[in-house]
Amino acid sequence: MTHSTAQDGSLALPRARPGAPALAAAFILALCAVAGLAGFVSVAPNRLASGQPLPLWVASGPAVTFALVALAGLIAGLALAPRRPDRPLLVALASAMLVLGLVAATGEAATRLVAEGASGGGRLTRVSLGPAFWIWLVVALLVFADATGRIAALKLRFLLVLGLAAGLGGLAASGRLADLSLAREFAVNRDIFVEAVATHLGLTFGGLLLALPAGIAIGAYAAARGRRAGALFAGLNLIQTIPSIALFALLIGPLTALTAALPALRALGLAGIGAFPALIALALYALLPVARAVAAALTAVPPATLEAGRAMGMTRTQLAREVTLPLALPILLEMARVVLVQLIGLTVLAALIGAGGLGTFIFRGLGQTAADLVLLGALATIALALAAHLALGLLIGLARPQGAA
Amino acid sequence: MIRLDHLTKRYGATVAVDDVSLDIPAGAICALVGPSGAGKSTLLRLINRLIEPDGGCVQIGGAEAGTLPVVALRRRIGYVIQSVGLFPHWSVARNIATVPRLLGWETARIERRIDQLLDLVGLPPSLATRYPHELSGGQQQRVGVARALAAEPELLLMDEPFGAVDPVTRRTLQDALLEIQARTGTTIILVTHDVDEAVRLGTVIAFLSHGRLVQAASPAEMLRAPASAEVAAFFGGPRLGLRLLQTASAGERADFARTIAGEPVEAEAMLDEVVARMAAAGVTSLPVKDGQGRRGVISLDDVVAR
Ligand SMILES: Nc1ncnc2c1ncn2[C@@H]1O[C@H](COP(=O)(O)OP(=O)(O)OP(=O)(O)O)[C@@H](O)[C@H]1O
Ligand SMILES: [Mg+2]
Repeated sequence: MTHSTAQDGSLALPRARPGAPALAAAFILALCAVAGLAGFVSVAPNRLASGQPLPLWVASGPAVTFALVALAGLIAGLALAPRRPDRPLLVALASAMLVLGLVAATGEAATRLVAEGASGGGRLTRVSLGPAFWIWLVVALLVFADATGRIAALKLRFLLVLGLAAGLGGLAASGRLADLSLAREFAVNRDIFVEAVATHLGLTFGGLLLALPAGIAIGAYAAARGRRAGALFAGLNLIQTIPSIALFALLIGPLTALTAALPALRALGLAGIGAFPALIALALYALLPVARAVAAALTAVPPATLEAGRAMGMTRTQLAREVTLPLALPILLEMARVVLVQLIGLTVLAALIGAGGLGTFIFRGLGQTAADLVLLGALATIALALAAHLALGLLIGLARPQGAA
Repeated sequence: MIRLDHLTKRYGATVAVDDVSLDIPAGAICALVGPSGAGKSTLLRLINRLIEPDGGCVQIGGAEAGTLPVVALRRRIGYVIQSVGLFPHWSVARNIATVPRLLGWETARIERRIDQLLDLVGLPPSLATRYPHELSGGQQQRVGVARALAAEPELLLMDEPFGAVDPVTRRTLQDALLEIQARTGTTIILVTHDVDEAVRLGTVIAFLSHGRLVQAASPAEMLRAPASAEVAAFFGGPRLGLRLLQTASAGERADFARTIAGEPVEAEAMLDEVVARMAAAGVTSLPVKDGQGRRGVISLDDVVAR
């Protein structure tokens, strides 16, 4: 049971094979050694100076170090212990606690170090996240994702994921993380950040919406044509091979010329740079996967089933609503998930042509060598992509027809 | 009931159905036979208008099919599709209920009908909640038959309905079909590659080859006078005579004026069974008894007489 359902709309990122818990445990043990020695946080007197790395036991003290190591040990122990039905749940809970513990520890360390004026910078002291923290965090999250993916009940999986997200949100809201340089950067940029997230989502969904009509039409045509639609897909494939940055840039020229030639377009607010070309570039990228998805979904319905439906006296709408759609929907959603996650990442590049979005933070951070700014944009992008992945996973779980093998 | 009038269907250069004219009286069972690619399935699809003819027409109960509203027409015609074509996302019960639901039957009536049909095609009621992929090929095929029968259609088109079931079940299903047909008077057009099935079920056999209707006749006539070497070969070539034995019963040939001693054969038994009994017993005549208790005798001469 556990295994068959683990394949349904899996929430987990890696689709681990049986035996992976043992592997994860070995990983944790190996990384513990590395992670123990490298910097957990790094302290700098101000925004411009380079930081000095502090390992976990220096930054957080022996008690916290012991607690975190004990939690990691517990996970490793659970993973190596004999199989029991509630093991995935226990591992998921422990790894979620580890994630929260790690984040809380950085916050506490930052607050203390800033209060002590550790590097002589006083209130200007900046405490940023070090490589050891990231290693711990990534491993803990991977274990969490793997363990939740093994939990059969879809609802329980979602509760766990939501619980972890709420825990992280709660930590941030409580102010315990406020002294981390990342949080300070966020506090300074709060308004533009919120706006950037909104713009980012607007661009992503706008691009997808633009791609839908053409993508659906091409996909339906390809499904009807079978193999002969190969040339069509070859053409769309060509678009995908254009490097993404180049595509964004390539559109500026023609669109500037177009808006220059047609002032009416300019009156609508369309221009050679900004949101307009970004939307078009994103739509072009989404076109192939959307068309592929529609073609795959439509051809997934067995022709004999359609013939039977017609022969039983179903009308066109009845056939579409009761047969084609329920059989095609899970495949469509599966592809929508892939497209959406891919587009959220691509939208970062829209900032390069002045369209805004989370890329603004990343590129500004790169320009100013402000790592925290880059991190802010990148983490938010990852969070959006994960959220889209999970939300569609839930939809897929709900849409899967019971009879599908 | 069904009249095919110079019916023609082309696919590019292939003429799948070529100028076929055939009358099938109401209540008949027409067994459609012929080599693979002869146009049998195409002919069925022309009747329920899954495809439209390039020439000629189909008349159903006096009305030209092309003029009838197509959706309503199809709901009156049961169709067992060659590749079964169950709805994979629906349970067995929901599959069977397809046409009754389209016709808006009430739930209680539909449920009663589902139980009845499962029994009829020899499937246990516990299968009702299963999904098609959880059934064997033969079970799926029987669900397909039940689905076609669900709304008591006036006309039943069956494309190799029993191809995937074992011989014993197949015989049971054939009997069930004959029984339904006798009770409801449904007209049936049945495509089969099983010569015995065609002879056993068909009141008329239609032989198609390369889209053309080569011969349409009762099983006995067709076996006695096959219209071409191809038809003769199809029905067994040199052994065709053995199939002829399946077209008449002991009662039809027996002499009820006298009798002899021994274990009697039933009057309904077909002649092939009589010959088998003779061969097993090493005799050339056997006593016969019929339903009313009359006794008679049948000899090898009676069996092979024309
Ligand atoms: N949709 C189609 N497009 C093109 N050719 C077709 C199509 N349907 C049938 N044909 C051709 O028409 C001819 C008759 O096909 P049909 O399916 O009626 O044969 P059949 O007698 O049912 O054969 P079988 O016993 O193998 O089921 C074949 O030559 C077939 O290739
Ligand atoms: Mg066929």
